[in-house]
Amino acid sequence: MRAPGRTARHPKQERDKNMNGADVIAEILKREGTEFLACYPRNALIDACAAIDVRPILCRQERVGVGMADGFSRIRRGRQNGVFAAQHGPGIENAFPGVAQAYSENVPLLVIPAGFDGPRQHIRPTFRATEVYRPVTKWSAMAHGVQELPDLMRRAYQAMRTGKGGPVLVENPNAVFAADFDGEVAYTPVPVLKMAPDPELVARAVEMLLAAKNPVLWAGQGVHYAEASDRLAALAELIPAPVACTNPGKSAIAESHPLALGASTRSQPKMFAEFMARADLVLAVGSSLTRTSFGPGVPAGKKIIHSTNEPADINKDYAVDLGLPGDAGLVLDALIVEVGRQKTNAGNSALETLSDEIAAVKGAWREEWAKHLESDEVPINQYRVLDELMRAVDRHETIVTHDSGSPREQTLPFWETTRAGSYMGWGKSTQLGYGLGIIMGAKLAAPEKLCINIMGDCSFGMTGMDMETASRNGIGILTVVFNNAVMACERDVLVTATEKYGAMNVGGNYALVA
Amino acid sequence: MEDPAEIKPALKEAIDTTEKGQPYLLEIIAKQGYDFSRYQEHTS
Repeated sequence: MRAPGRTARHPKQERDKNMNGADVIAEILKREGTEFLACYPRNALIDACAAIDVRPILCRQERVGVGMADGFSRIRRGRQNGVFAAQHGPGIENAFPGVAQAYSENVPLLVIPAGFDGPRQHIRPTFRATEVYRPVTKWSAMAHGVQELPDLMRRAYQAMRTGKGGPVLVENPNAVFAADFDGEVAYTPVPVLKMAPDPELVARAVEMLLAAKNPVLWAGQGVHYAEASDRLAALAELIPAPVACTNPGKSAIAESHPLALGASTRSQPKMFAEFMARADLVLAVGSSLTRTSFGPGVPAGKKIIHSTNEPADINKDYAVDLGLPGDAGLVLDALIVEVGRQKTNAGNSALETLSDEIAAVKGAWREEWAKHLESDEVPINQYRVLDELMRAVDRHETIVTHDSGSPREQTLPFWETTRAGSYMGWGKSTQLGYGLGIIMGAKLAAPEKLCINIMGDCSFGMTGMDMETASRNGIGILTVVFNNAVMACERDVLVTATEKYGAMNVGGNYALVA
Repeated sequence: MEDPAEIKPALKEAIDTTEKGQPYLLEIIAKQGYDFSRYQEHTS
């Protein structure tokens, strides 16, 4: 990887030829630390990247290619960003689900479609990606000329590396890709920018925290992007307070930590529910507190302190008692210092008592579920598989994700992480099959890790052909498919359709397909 | 895979394969599971 800011000569410059638009973008991607280009042709950027050793990885379906860029961005915590390139028209049309999912998950990735040339732009049925994608991107723009490319790319990276994450899109008409670029590429990589909290608000937050009888820390994925798991645990121990994680926030604290309550989707560990019920105050950090069908809600009657790096999320879905905007890591740093200043009674007995209470509820929960976790039933009980999988792997060196539906409901509560940041939770939107692309991206970001995705047969039906992408490119993921030939989560709403027409009875031999 | 006794050896084979840089698909014939760990009324 070329060091940031260095302007080694492009291969074309070595031959005294002009770079074109595609070369310029490839060069900028390389300076930004891009390690691969997830893609599907035809897009001039693919060969331009290959020429300067940015590996193109062709997927089988564009939404999975976007997923690969997504998973990479997550595991690299937004310091480097996954990139996906597609053809104009059908290619970028096909990518929409992947980008929409990434938008709902606040993932900072870059999409670079080719585009129709100017004279065709406003003739029906031309698909104008910049406009169509606007509702599902943090920022989108079209290049009108080759000389503006460095400016456009700088804006794209600035959008990705500031504040709440989200996909960004830079559309390039084919004529712009092909046009000769005049001069050197003046581009310096964009740093990640963070926002520190207001010290007065920090002081008020700590007053409220220390006055609460049963405070709970609520951790979202902002803690992952801030790489602040150590500080989350430190604050929890200092107060002391238990830590509940959202779906995407799962493993913001290792679930083997004595103060961890686990994470929640519609399902959750018993500890999560009990301690949330007892809470009188919730401090949400790195969470948008967005109401979603696939994540936990804050029960009514709790005081809420809401800290997030997106001020517009404060008071969006919950009326809060105190808003505390800022980067999760900088907020946690400030809270720890302030607790140290305000808290007068030192001593570990409260911490030990709390840890023992959590352990007791956790033990009772595990005992209640032992019949599933140790089940010898045939067909196989999914919980038995999860239990065996946890024993078989080194969870410290494993990254896991679920897929939509029953696998999410089963895996999220029970997969006990032993290392912070080792689980990719998701599901504000919840497209079947999304897990396959993101686990491939995770493997590309962390090749030394065992990367596992757990999906149902319906999810596999949506994106399973991209196992071929993993095989062709040597992306060594482990995919577990629970084939129960039914859409378990839909049984309540497809009663008549199933009775009369067998609507819910899906099936297949997926191992043969793979 | 249909027998719980096969889970452990299958996982070992799967993990060994991924360590060689190849993906592994483990298909498990599973029950129509409707048991979920739910203790909190969903408020969203």
